[in-house]
Amino acid sequence: MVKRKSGMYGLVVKDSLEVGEAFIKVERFENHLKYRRSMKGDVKEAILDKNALVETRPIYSLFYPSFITGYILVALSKPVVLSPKSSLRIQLQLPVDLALYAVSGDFYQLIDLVPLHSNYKYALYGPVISSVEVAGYIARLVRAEPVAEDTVEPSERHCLTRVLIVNKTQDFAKVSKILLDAKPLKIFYIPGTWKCYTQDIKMVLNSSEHASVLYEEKPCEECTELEEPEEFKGLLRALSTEMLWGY
Amino acid sequence: MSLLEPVLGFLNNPQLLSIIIALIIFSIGYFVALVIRRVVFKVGIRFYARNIASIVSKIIYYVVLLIALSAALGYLGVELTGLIIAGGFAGIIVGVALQPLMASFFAGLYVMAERIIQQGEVVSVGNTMGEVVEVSLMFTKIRTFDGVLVTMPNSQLLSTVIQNYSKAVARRLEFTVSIAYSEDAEKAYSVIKDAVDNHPYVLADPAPDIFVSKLGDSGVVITVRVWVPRTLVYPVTKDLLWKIKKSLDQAGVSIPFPQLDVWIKTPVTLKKEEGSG
Repeated sequence: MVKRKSGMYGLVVKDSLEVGEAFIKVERFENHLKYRRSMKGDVKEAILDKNALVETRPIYSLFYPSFITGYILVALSKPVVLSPKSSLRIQLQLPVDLALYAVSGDFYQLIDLVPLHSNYKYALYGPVISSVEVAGYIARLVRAEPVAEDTVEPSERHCLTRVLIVNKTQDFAKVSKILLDAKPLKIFYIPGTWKCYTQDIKMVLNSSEHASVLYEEKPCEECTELEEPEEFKGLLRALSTEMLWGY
Repeated sequence: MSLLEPVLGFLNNPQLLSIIIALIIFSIGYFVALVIRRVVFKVGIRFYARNIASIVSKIIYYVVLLIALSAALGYLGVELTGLIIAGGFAGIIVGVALQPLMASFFAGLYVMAERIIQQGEVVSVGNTMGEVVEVSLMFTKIRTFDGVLVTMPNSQLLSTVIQNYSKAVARRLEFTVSIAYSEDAEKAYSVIKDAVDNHPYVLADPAPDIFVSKLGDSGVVITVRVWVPRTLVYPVTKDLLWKIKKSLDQAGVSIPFPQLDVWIKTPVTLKKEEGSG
């Protein structure tokens, strides 16, 4: 039994674990496991059979306080300006939460979620209602700083996202927000570390109002792909996300 | 030759030949009606609900079938004028008798085609507000939030105002909060703003709007307008005003009760009653 004091992804919790203000305890009995997590007076418990393991994994910051949307609207802290017919790769840190999964062989079940951030907000991308029935989207609002250097590593509690922005227009373009769809966007992590990445993204600016966000390559060879959350199973996945109301 | 003789004899009978040709006309009409029905249904379900595609395809099927039958009977020399006139009269009589039903029927078609309201949506029709349980050709069933099932004829839908709350992705909520004149309005504003900003389901964009809307009889009235995801209107309505009240209490900002100052011009002498302590 190894007692660990800090969390990381892909860790089988055998005894106890502290992540931020959350204290997680797993007790093994003869024929079952007891899971208990306490955080700011909030306690969550579960009983598992003896074959199950409790494992930590990153999860999109979409499930706390409750799951209401699969979209993430990344508001850039500074705009990215591109000249006509040019491209630039930027890197962003997207916040993630910590998921506690019951794992048995290839099967898994989310049993708890530890929020790792303080302020969870949502925003509307697009119009409230439209006469052609294409209304906007409610999206989890994430503020991120765009970094142009390639050497950036994922910071704790965040996933590193590489975005190649391609300006196809004949004019300068200023990008201040990116709409991502978590359903096609895969998360990858390196087990035993806090390192988390998303699939590479290509954002094509088609006009001054319209951009297409495409989901591309796996970010690193040694990464483990995160299994899709329960909420996303069986859904049709779009290959791209269309930003119809500006970027 | 002996085998062909009866066949040729059969074909030489003009009446029998007419019947065969009439049957062929009707069969072709029937086949065309079937094909049209399938095509209309398959194309229709791409654009409209399954039930409306089915109804329209059936109507077209029966119209084509009727045309084929008329053509076949016409070929046989059957006089259709009388039949049409009789049918017309019968149609008028049935139409008048079933006018309310027909009105609901066509209203139902229109409601389904235009997708004015659909199953699962939250709507307000006249004085009825609730979730749409079913939209059929004749009736629409709405379950009110206190659990009553309201069934209304579709004709009523077209003659009243319908508010569909499920068509928008977000809705605006409005609260008014009154603070005493003696309180620091700036402080009250920032307390309310913090409560609103810290609520996860209050949308950051469109941004909340907080402003003094009235200098009331008892206090300064502050209006709070926030946008929330459509599905969370009820929980946020319950939660947010309560959180604002608690935040104001914790900050020591008092919410005034209605009060009236009475000024009496002539002096009033108060007499203390014996034994009142």
